[in-house]
Amino acid sequence: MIVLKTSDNETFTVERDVAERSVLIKNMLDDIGENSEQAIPLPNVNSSVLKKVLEYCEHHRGEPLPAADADTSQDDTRKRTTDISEWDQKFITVDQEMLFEIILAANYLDIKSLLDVGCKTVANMIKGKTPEEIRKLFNIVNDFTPEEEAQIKKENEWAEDR
Amino acid sequence: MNTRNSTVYSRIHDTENQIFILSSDDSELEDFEAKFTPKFIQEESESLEDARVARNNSKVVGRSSRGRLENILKIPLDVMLEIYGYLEPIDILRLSRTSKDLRAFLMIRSNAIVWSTARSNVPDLPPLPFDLSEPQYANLAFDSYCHNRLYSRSNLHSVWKRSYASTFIVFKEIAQYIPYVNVVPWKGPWDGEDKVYFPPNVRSLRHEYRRVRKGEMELEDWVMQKKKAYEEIMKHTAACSDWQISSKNKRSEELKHARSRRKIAIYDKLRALGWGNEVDKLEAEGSSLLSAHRAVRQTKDLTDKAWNNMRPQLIKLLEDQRL
Repeated sequence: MIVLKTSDNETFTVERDVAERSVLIKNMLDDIGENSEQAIPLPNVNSSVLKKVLEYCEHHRGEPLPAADADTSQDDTRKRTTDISEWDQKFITVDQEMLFEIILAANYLDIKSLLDVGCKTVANMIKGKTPEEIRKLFNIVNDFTPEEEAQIKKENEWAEDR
Repeated sequence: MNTRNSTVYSRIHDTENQIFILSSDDSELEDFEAKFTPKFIQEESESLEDARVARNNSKVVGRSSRGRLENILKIPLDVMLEIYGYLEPIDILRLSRTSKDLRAFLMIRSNAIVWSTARSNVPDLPPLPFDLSEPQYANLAFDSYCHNRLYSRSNLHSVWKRSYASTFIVFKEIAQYIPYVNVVPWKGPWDGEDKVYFPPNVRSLRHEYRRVRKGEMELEDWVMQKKKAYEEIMKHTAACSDWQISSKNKRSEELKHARSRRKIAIYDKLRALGWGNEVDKLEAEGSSLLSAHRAVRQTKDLTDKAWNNMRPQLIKLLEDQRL
């Protein structure tokens, strides 16, 4: 069993193969050796997010981990699908704050498949939306004046060429 | 939808009877541009409407609190690039119009990879043409003229040709190498002309021609250059047309399958209720009474609820057949 310690000082005891879905934790465990009783500190993850992340790792335990360089070997000419499996879809149906926290945690903990689920979810939220709808969705402040906004629609050159 | 779409013939071909103006001081041409440019390339009304919406929404942004991570810009760059990797050019274009920060990031050439990745997410889209930047291509192919999301893709054909083609010729030498489009002279703002050209194209050609006039470039070379460019553009235009038509076909094919899936599901249920003979009779007669019924001819998959709603109507219809 592995003990993980969150930013808010909560500890989680999980089985090794669950924890090792995280490449970060796996590397740490490899470094500190098999029999360490020491808790692994995760200062960038709080307990509510880690709980959620571990739920994901638990569900997907035992599945093959993607190769470290899977991304570069991906065929660039192929359409990248944003399909998400049913379980993952349900899992990631959370409020926006939690969604971004999960993405940040997956990035930090290096859990590629979870990061993919998060990124696909955000991409699906953006797809087909107008600029105003995107702003509303992510609370992006519109810092264009109405005149500028009308103007930028006509300016599609690279900034360097303007 | 822009009603002018219907006035534009999409066919482009060479012809001997080019319409062009040879003008020494460009004034005639400037007049033409001033007159027609707003209609071709400005989208004033929509822009202003968007701006108004934006103002009205500024309050909402301040009030709602979706959490601490309000700003998508706080996501690390490498993660943001992952997200962009799933989007299409139109989404990148729209993101670039949301805020100054995002615009600054997306509209520089060194981040062209974001756009090219997005293009690769559109099946069979012809490659970036040599004469357009990534954002220009995205705008032209997906957002130009027709801002209605539902139509933007399928409208590519006419948009593409019109943009390239609405060029007004000033240079006799290269008249035949400037893309244009045929229009119906009496429909739209064409002033009796049957070919139109894209004003910005003409402007840049006019500027280029100065070099020839100054003797910095051989006329012959310039004409050859324009000929080559013309051929490349036309080839790309044709590829875009093919792509647009095939996406449209693919879509209608999908709809057809969805409709037939629903029809089969309904027929199966009717047969199970003992109406097989009537169903077969109608089908054999080629009748559309059942197959084109409002409840049947839909692209949605059949649900129990929908079936329960339509059942009495369909059975009534089949009872009439029995008599």
